[in-house]
Amino acid sequence: MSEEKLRELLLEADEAVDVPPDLEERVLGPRRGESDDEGAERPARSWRPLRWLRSWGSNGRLQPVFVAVAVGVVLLGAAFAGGVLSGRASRAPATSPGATAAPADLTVFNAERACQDLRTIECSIAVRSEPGKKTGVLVARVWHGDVVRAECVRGDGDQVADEAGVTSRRWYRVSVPGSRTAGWLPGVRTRNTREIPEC
Amino acid sequence: METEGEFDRLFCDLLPRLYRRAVLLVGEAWAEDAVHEAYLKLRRRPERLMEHPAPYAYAFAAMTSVVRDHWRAGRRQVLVPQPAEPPGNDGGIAAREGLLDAGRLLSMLPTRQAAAVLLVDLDGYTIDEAAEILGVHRGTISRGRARALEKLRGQVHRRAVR
Repeated sequence: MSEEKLRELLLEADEAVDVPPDLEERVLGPRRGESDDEGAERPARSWRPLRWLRSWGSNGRLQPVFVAVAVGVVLLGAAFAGGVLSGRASRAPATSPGATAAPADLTVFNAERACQDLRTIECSIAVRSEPGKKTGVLVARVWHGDVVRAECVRGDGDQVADEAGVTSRRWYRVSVPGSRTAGWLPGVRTRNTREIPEC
Repeated sequence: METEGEFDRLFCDLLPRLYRRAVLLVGEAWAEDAVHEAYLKLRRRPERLMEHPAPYAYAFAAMTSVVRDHWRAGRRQVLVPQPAEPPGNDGGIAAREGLLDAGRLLSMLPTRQAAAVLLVDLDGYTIDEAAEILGVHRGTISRGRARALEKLRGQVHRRAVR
């Protein structure tokens, strides 16, 4: 094995590198000094925040500063968010379940985004006959955006998880307008914010 | 302003060659960042590049320094996974096999030794010249090349076995 072989390999590799055609622009940003016009506006230096963050983060000398700043920002953000949330919580009017409960219209919500505009069988949500049972007989199909009338709710049904990871044991007794059918709809298939009377 | 324009023009002349060396030193994914950081570093004192008798060598040394500071320190011992044996219709992998091999080979060396190998065996500098460019002892260059050759032997042997 000779040095020739090493040179050969490096030359071969060097020739295999494709230099991107717009490399100059990407590396230098808009060219400075391209024009001799004294009055020409000086193009802005290319600004790559992520690149600078990365280089700060990987620079040994600046790393402690970078970490300290990042921790500070996170703590401030958490304190602010905590304050806002606790403020909201304290300002929110207390509600006693059932106090204002009444049958209400609910909008069906399908967490599967691709299904939200489709009215296909695959994207339908089942209204079932058995109270709180996932295995109940399908009595009607509803789709994202449909409005159903919720008469009452029970909280001891089968747990259902939607595609967004929301889980609930609540099932609504609903009637489907126009079809004269009634059945049970899992709570996770709505994003209800109103109190509904218990069944 | 005129100095900046001249500096940019000079850097652009060097850029393709620097970029190709950066690909060998840090890989394609990081090469652009490496030359960009080198550009920013050199631009702080443009006259140094412009007045240097060997601008390429000076820029290469700056890029090596940037690479050493930012990229290689934590990745020196990380081996690139061995790619699968290319099939007949490899979509261009075979054509780039030399590039992969060279990159793998250089990634096994400390940055300065890898840079020294490039200067001597690709750019044709003598060992003493490369040592001066990189600001290291000539023994560092010799050791780097010796290690590179050793690794290369290993690679060729493995390929022959396959």
